[in-house]
Amino acid sequence: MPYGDADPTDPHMLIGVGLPAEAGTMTEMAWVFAEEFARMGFDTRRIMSLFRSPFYAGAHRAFRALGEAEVAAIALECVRVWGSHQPEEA
Amino acid sequence: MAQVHNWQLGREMNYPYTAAFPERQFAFVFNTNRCIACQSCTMACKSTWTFSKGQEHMWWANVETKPYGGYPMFWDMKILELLERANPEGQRWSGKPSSDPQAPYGRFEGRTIFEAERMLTPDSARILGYLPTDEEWNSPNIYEDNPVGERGKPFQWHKAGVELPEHKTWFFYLARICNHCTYPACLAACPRKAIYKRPEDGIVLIDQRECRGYRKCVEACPYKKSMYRGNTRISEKCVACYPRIEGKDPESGGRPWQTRCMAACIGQIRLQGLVKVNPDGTWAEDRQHPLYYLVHVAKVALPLYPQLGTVPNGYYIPPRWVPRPYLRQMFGPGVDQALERYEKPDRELTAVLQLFNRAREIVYRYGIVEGPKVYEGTLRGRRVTLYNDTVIAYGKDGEELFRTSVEEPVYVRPAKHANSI
Ligand code: SF4
Ligand code: SF4
Repeated sequence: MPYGDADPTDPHMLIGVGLPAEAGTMTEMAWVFAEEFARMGFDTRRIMSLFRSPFYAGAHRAFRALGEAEVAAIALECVRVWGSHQPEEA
Repeated sequence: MAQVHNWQLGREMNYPYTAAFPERQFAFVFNTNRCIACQSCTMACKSTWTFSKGQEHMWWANVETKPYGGYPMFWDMKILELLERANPEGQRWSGKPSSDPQAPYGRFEGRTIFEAERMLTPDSARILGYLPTDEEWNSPNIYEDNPVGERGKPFQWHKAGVELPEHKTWFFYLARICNHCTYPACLAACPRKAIYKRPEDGIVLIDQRECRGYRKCVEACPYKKSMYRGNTRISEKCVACYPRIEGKDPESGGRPWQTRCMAACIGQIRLQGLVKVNPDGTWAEDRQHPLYYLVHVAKVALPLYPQLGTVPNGYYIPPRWVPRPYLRQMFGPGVDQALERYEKPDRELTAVLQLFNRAREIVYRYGIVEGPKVYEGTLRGRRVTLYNDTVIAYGKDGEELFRTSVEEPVYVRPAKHANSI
């Protein structure tokens, strides 16, 4: 039923379904994106632009939940490990 | 019904035909931890195969937001619900993941979609499934992480999208194509035997001359990767870019190339290849094959919904941040071990992960040359030692395709060529 209103009688419509989620999932998500992209050779500037872009909704959601400073600290720690031999700006 | 061995389920299984296996099997590993839903893969496929009239609703390759989305809408919830009804005692596994190649994830005790006879109506149906409605096919990413446009304003997006309601908990992106299953449900369901699995590479194709559009394959494929085309009245599905796999791309110089969706991936999450198959359908030992290594040695990549029973040949490195019960349902009991290994990759895994998407050619074998220790310290309090090893990829005839290192240099494309392929 795209473009229609949600139909509460449709048993397959996701309405108010409880999802298991542990506290800290956002932090976990931020760590994973930062680490994965650091492994791929991104520097902190590029990792942060990924987080800032609303079009990368997963990373951006974590960015909005945690804030710039916390995400920047995470990105820096990952780049220190995985990007230690790369120039900061390629 | 014949009895076939389903190694992903660790047991014999009913299937309408006797088992027949290809020499090599088209297979792939997707690393969900890296997918950013840029949809480059989706568009690469669309612009290659499904851009014609009558194919508007077809996305042979798609990327959906889990747990909210699905294409067609709710496909996995619907088939899992049917499977749950066929398994009133639950979709249970027994045993534990082990090194037994006949049962690496333990044993699935429930019924698969081929074994749910009592659920089937009408009696002529062979396989548990359902036909999605037109509306479910229509809008592949609706209600996912991208808010819809305003009602009554078609073809416009919200300029302030992030201010719209958004999901406040975890989610991740699941990239999907046809799994070119070892026991394809689409093939098993076709009353005209118009679907076949190629003996050379296991690619599953619909013979367009034989198909009469009964849509039994659309109904039976649990992954909903067979699709009906209204204006030709026949069904179509992912063809695994077979001309590329055969090395027939004019630019390939005869070398087998990975599919378009693999080669286009921005996040470098994809690695596709052709694995050797044993006479019993299990993967033949091929220690230096990157897919064999990821699935059977490191065991970080797992099949998608193995309980459905088709032995899908798409494998996924599960997302690290998602609650385990959800992941166990989606990828089976191997999840905990896979994530433990992926989170703390050893030297070999770190190097093999560098092979993803570094070239268009299909990698048949890899070798590693050890390099110096470049880092020793901690990451989130856990000890990390990093070696700058070099991984070398070899092609079909043993020729070197490329080599790269764990700490590889980054090259930035000049802005004026940003969109060249
Ligand atoms: S994923 Fe579906 S369409 Fe593809 S081979 Fe398996 S059953 Fe057939
Ligand atoms: S191209 Fe790669 S990163 Fe982008 S959506 Fe597809 S699988 Fe994900």
